[in-house]
Amino acid sequence: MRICDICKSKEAVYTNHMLEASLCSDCLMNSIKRRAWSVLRGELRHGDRIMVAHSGGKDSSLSLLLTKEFSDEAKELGLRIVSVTIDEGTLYRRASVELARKLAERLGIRHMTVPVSEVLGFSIEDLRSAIPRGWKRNACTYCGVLRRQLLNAVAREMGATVVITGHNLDDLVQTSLMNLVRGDLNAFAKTMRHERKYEEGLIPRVRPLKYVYEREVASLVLALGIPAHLGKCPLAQGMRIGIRREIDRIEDSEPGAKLRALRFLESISSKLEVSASIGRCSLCGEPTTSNVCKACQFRREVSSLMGIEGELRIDLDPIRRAVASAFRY
Amino acid sequence: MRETIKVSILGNDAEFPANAQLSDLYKALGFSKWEILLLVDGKPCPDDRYLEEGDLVTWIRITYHESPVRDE
Repeated sequence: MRICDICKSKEAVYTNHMLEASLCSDCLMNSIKRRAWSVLRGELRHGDRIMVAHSGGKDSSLSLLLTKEFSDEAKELGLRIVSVTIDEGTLYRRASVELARKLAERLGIRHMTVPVSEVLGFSIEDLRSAIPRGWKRNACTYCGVLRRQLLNAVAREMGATVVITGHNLDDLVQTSLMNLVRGDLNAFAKTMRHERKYEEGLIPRVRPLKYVYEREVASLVLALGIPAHLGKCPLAQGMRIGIRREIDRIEDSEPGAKLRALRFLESISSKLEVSASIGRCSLCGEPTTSNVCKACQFRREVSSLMGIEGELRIDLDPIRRAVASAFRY
Repeated sequence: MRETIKVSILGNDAEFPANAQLSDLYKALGFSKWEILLLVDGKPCPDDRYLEEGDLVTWIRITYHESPVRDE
């Protein structure tokens, strides 16, 4: 049995190559909690109404758990938390919705599910089936943009002051390098920007796991038996896969490279000016930096792919009814 | 002293040097440790854990790379 290098008593479950130490589940939890809570302590404010974007996957489930523990610890802040799962209608999501509900119930947190099909008029599964072979975009690209817009709309409609996501260190380094490769300075600055700033219609996001490796999350969730879906979405593909492999190779030879890269990128981005100003989409009215938002541009394509006549609009009425009293508890 | 040990990987027997660690198994399977998480008897283990005779090894996928095995 390999014993934990920190407490010297319990069986180790994870090797931290940067520290050259193997940790048990308790010491790994303490290590992750220190990093996550330092983010939460810096970003959350008194009376915040927090919507946790909780897919039921490992990352958002751990985010929810750590946020709840932080909220219990920092009672003087009077934080309120609601867990929200966007149900894209895929087979993959079916299992995770149930796990999301189970964890929220265990933590005593209100949980809500928002079916994409009710708001957009189609599910991502419908869309996937309609995309012809060789089409310029895959379902993952559409899903990412539409889901992001929907999460923000749900948070706004329920009166949340902050959205907590499960983005981890690996996600953020990959995304910033993708923006670098695309030459998209604005997107790079926005991804990395770490100060909490309210922009009209956009609910600020906080990522408690931004200094936590995805592998640490998976190990801890498994070791502690936290209800979470550990599968990967089968629709995931694209440039990210190649970038991820290269970053992982660097981390293998230079342990800690991802963490150092993120700190460096955060430092650079805090000195960058973001030129695009936030306006409203001329079609749906949601926040955007262009005349027509990306989600509406994609909805047009989806209409055409699915043979739907007329404009596909985001219908917020079902959301408004469902989330109106989310924080009244 | 034994020179090799036998472990079961997803139900298939495999032989490794007696001093092999879990980190060696990632390499032998052709995966990055960032891509999958190896489990012994269903539990996560540190990379420097030595393999033991009769270990039941499985894995979960953490993310997607372009590895030899695409589907578990």
